[in-house]
Amino acid sequence: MLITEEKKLKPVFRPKKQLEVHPDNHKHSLGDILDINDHKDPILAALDISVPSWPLQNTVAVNPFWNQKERHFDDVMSELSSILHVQLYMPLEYYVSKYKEGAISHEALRGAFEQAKSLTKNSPKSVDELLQLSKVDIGVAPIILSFAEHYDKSHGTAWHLAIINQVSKFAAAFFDDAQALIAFPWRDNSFWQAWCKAQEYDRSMEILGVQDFQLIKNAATIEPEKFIRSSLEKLGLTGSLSQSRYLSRLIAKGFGWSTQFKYCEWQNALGYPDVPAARTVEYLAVLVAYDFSLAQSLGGADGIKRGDWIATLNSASNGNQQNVNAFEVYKIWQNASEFEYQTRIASQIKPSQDYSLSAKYQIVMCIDVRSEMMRRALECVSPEIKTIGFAGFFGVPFDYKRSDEKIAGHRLPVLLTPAFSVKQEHPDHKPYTKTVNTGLFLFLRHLRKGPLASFSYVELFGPNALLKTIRQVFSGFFAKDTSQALPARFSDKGTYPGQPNIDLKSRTERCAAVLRHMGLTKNFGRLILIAGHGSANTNNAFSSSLDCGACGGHAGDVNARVLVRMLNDVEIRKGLAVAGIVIPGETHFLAAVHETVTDSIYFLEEFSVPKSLQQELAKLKENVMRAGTIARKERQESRSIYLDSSPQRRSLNWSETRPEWGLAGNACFVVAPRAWTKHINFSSRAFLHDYEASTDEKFATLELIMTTSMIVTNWINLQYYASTVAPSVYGAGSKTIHNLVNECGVQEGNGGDLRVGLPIQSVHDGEKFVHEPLRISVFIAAPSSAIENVIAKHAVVRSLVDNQWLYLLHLDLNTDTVSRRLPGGFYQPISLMLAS
Amino acid sequence: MRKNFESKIISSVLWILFFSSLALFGFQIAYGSKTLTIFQLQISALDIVFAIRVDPLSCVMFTMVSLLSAIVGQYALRYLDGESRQGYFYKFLLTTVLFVVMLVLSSNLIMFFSAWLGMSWGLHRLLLYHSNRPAAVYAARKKFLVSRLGDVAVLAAIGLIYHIFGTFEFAEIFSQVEAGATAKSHQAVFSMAAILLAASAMTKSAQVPFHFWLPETMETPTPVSALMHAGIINAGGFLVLRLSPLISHSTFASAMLATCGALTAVYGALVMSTQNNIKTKLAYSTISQMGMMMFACGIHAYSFALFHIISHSFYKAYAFLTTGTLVEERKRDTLKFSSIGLGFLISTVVAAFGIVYFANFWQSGIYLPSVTYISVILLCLLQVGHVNHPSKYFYAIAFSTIVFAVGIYTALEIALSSFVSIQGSSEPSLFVNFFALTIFASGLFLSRFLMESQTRISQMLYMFLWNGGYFGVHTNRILSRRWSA
Repeated sequence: MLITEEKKLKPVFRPKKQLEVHPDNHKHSLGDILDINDHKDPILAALDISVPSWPLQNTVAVNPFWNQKERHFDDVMSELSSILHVQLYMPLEYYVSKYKEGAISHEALRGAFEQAKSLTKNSPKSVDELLQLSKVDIGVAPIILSFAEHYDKSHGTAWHLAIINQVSKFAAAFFDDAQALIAFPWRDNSFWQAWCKAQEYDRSMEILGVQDFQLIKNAATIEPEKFIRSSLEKLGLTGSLSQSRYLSRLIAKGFGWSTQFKYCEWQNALGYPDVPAARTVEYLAVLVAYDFSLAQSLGGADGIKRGDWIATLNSASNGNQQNVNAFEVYKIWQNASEFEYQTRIASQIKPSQDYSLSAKYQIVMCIDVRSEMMRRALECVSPEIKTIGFAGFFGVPFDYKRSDEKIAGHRLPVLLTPAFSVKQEHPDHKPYTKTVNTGLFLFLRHLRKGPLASFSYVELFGPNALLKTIRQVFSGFFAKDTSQALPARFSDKGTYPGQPNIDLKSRTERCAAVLRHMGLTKNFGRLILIAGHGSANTNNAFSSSLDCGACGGHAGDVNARVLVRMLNDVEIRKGLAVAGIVIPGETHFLAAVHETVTDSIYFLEEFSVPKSLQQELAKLKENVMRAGTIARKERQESRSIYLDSSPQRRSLNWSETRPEWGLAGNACFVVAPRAWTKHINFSSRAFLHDYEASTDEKFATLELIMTTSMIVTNWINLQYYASTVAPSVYGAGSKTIHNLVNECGVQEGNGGDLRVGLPIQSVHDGEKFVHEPLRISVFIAAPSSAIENVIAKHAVVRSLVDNQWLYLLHLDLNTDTVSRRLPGGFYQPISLMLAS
Repeated sequence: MRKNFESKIISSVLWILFFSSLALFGFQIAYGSKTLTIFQLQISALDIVFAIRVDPLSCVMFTMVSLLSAIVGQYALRYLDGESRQGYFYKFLLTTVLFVVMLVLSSNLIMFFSAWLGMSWGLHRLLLYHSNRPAAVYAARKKFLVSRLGDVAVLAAIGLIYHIFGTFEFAEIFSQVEAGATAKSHQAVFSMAAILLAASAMTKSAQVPFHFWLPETMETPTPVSALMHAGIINAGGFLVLRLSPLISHSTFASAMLATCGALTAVYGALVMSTQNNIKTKLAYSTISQMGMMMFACGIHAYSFALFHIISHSFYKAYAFLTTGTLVEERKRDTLKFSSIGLGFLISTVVAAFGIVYFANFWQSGIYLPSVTYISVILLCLLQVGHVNHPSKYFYAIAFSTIVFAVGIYTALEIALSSFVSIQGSSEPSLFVNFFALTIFASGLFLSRFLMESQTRISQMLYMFLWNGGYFGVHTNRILSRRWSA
C-alpha cells in the first residue's frame, strides 16, 4: 500500500552533496572490508572486536559492535560471522514465517530488495529468486580457527576448551577483590606480569600435556605487544590479513573477559580511580601465549597440519565468501522487517500544532520503552494528566554515595562524567557504616566466609537458614497483588540524599538547563511528578539490567529526588525567575519511582507536599493507581503469554527467572512532541523523547538528544539485537546454570569464559524469542538542516547514521512526509503522516 | 502461564512426602521405634523383607530430606520454567528423592544397598541434564567412577557382614553386636567390614581423595546442586550413623574417619578461600563441611554429626538457591578484619589441647567426643579476629549475638541428642582426638599464613590450593585418554 503512495510522493532531497553520496556510490563488498583490514594494525583490529561490559552491580547495555562503528553494519556482520562462526541475522525460516503471517508485507520486502539491487550486483535478481534462496539456511563455515581449534578438529581433543578455562581462571583471580578471601598474590602487577609470574608455580598446562610450557615463563620482561608480534612471526603468520583474522579469532574465543579489560580501559579514560589499570592487549598476549605454546608443543610433530592451518588463514576466503549471494538474502530480509516496522509507525504519526504541555498534573518519565505503556495509561485515565519523556537521569549526572556501600555509584549515562556528587544523609547525622547493625552484618559475613570460621558459622547459624528459606518460599507463594507497600529498595528508612556539592549558582544553572531541555519553561502544572524507574525483583543477578540505563544501571529514584529537591528550593526558583523561567509558587515537584515489574508508581517523600495540595495529591494518587492497573493488564501479555500471571509474585519470588521483559521489543525512538504520538499504541517498543523544534534555541536540545539519548538507545537496541541473533557469543547464556564469578559477572557451569550480554531468559520465553531484532528507527521531528548539522558536527553520530547502525527518519511538518535518511544525507520518503 | 502439569504434580507429591514424614515423626513419638513390614519375599534361602525402620534417626533424616526436596521442587517450578528438560528434571528429582527416602527408611542391608545404587543412578541422570555440554559429561563420569568404587566397598562389606551375622536385618545385626556375640575368629573380618563401610561413606560424602568429582558438577541447574549438596551428599554420613554400632566397633575405621575428615575439612576450607566463583567455592565448602561431619563421626560425637548434617543442609540449600543476591551484597561496605595475634592463637590452641586432655579423664571420658568437637568449633570462631569498629556497643552486641546463638545451638543440640541417641560401641582414643585437633590448629595457622604473608612458599601453596590440588586437570587428562567423548 505504501509503495504506491510513495510513488506519488515528491522526493525530498535535502543535502548539498547529494550527488557524491548517492547510495549507488556506496558499494561495499568483501574486498572492501579486507582492504580496510589490511591498512589497520592487526592487533588493534583484533582488539576492536571487543567492547566494555559493566559489572552486574550496575550493568548497562552496550552496543557490542561499538568499536567497529566506522564500518558499515552489514560489512561488520559479514566479517564477524566468519570470525565468530555464527550468523548475525535471524535464521531465514524466522523471516519467511513472518512474511507468510503478513508481519513482513510484500511491499516492505520489495523495498528492501530494490535497495539491495541498487547497491550490489550480488543480490538476487528477483523477489521470487529471493524467496527460493530463503528456503535453506546456510551455516557459517568455521574456517578461521585458532591453532588449538584446528588441532582439536583433526584429533578429537578439547584443547581450546582447556585453554579458555585456564585463561578464565587467571582473569577471574586477577580481577577478584570480593569473592576469594585468600587473594591472588600478584594482583598488584599488570595482568601480563601477573600471569607470567604465576606461571612459575602453575603446573596445569604441564599436567595437561604441554611439555615445554616453560618457554613462555620468561616472557615477563617483554612488552605484550612485542610478545604478540614475535609469536605471530614464529608461528609463520606473516600477512596482516591472516594476523588480524587469527588475533580476532582468539579475542572472539575469549570475548567475555576481554570486555572486562575494555571496561577498565574505558573507566580509566573517564578518570575513575576504582578500577585496575589493565589493558586488553595484555589479555590478548596471554591468549596468544597459550595458543602459541600449544602450536610449539603439538604442532611440531604435526608439521603438515600446522601448514594447513596457516594456509587457510592466509588464503583469501573466509567462512562467508563463497556464499555472498546467500548473505545478501539475510540482509534483504533484515532490512525488510525494519522497513515494515518503520512504515507502520510512520503512517500513524499525526502532526499536531497543539504543543502545549499545560495541565494540572505533569508527569516526567524516562524515555525507556516501558514508560510508553505507562504514559499511555496515565493519559487515558485522566485528561488532566500530561506526560513528558526525558532521559531517566533527568539531566542531573552525579555520583551518589550510599553510606553502607563501598564506593559511590555513578548515576549517569556511562558516556558522561559526573557533574557533582551527593551523599546519603541520616536524620541524626550518624554515618551509617558505623552503626552496630552494619557492623554485625559484616561480622557475620566474615564468619561465614572465613576458611575455618565457616564451621562455626554453619553450626551456629545453619538452622537460621531454614527459617530464611521458608520465608522465601512463602513470600513467593502467597504474594498478593493488592500490596501497595513501597519495595524495600526504594525505601530509605528515613535517610535522604544530601545536597549536591556545587554552589547555588551552578545548581540554578543546572535546573534551568534541565527545564529547557524538557521543554518545561512555562505552563507549569500544580503537581509535577518526576518519576524515575527501577525494577524490584528477588535473587536476580541481572537485576540492574532491568534498571535505568541512563542512570548507569541504577534505579532512577535518587536522581528524581535530587532534582525535585533543587526545583522546590526557593532560592533556586528565585534564580530561575531571573533567568526567565518563572515557576508559580503553588507548583510543587514530587519525586516518584515507576516500579517496572508490577507497573506501580510509588510517590517518594510525600511529606514534602504542602497542605494546600493534599487534595490534588490524593486525586493524582488515585489516577496513578488506575493507570497502573491498565498498564499491568496490557503488559501481562504484551510479549508472551507465558509469564507468571501475578506481577507481585514475579517481583517477590526468589526462583523467578523472568520477572519482566525489560527493554525487549525495543524498535524505535521518537523525538517529537507527545501530541504527535499520543494516539499510537507502541506496545512498549518505543523510546519517546518529548521535543519541540520551534522552541529549541540553536537546536541545542536536538544536539544533546542525538549525541546522548540516541546513542544510549542504540546501545540498548544492539545489545538486544546481538543477544537475540547470537546468544552463544553475545548473550550471557542460561540463568539456570549461571555461576557468579567475583560476585560481579557470570560464567556458565564450572567455568569457561565470562558471559556478557543478556541471559537467554531475558529475550526468550521458552518457546520463542520475545525480542524482534530490528535496528532502532529514530524518528526526529526537526528541520533536516538541523539534523544534518548535528551529524556533520559529531563523528560518532555520523558513523552510526551513515553506517546504518541505526535508521534516522525525518518527520517533515511542511510536507507531512516521513523520510528515511540514506547514507550521506539523502532522504527517501517512505510514507505520509496522518492528516492533522 | 505454562501448563506444565507433570512438574506441578511432582512438586505437590514432594510436599505430600514432607507431610507424611511429619506424620511418621508423630507416629514415632507416640508409639516409639518400630519396624513396619510392607512385604516379604522368599527367594530360596534368602529372606528379603521390605520394611521401613521407624526410629528417631530415620524420622529426622526423612523429614529433613523431604522438606529440602519439596523446597527444591517448588523452586524449580519457576526457575526451570520454559526449559525443554523441565519434565526430565522433575522425573529424576522424584526418582532420586524416593531412593534417598528408601535409603533412610530401610530396615536391612539389601534395601539399603538398592537405594544406594538407585540414588546414585538418579543423581547421574540429573547431572546429565545438559548432556550436550562436554564438561557436564566429564563431571558425571568422574562421579560415576568414584561411586562405583564406593558401591564395590559397600557390597563387599555387606558380604562380610552376612558372613559374620548371617542376616541382613539391621535390628538383628545391632542386637548381636550389642550382646557381644561376635566370635573372636570373626574380629578381623568385622574390622574389615567396618573399614570398607567407612571407605564407601568417604566416597559418597566427597572426602579427600574421593572429592574431585564434586567441584565439577556445576554444569547442571542450580536446584540440582542444591539437592545434591544439601541432601544426597549426606548419604555417606547417614551410612556411618546408621551403621555406627558396626563402624565404631573398629578403632581403625573410626580413626580413619576422624583423620580423613579433619584433613578434608581443613583442605576444603583452604581451597574454598582461594576460589573466585561462587559455585566452586560452595562445592569446596561442602567438601570441608562433610569433612567436619566425618570427623565428628570418627570421634564418636554422633549426635553432633547429625546436627551438623541438618544445619549444613539448610545452610547449603539456602546458599545455592540465593547466589543471585551476592551481586547486591558485594556493594556493601567492608570493615577491616585483621587476623588475631600469633601469641593469642598459640595460647588458645594450647588451652584447647589442655581441655581435651582433661576431658579424657573427667567422668571416665564419656564427654571426650563432645569436648573435642566443641573445642574445634570455638577455636574456629577465633579466626575472625579483631574488628575495627568505632562504636563501643558493637563488641557488646556482636558478643551477645554469638552467646545467644550458642545458647540456641546448645538447646537444639541437647534436644536432638536426647531424641536421637547414638553411642559408639568402643572407647574413643585420646590420640585420635589430639591428632584431629592438631590438624584443625594447623589449618588456623596455615590460613593465617596464606592471608598475611607474601613469600615464595605461600605463593606455591596458594597456587596448589587455587588449582584444587590439580585433581581436576589430572583426572581430565586420564579420562580423555581412556574414555573419549
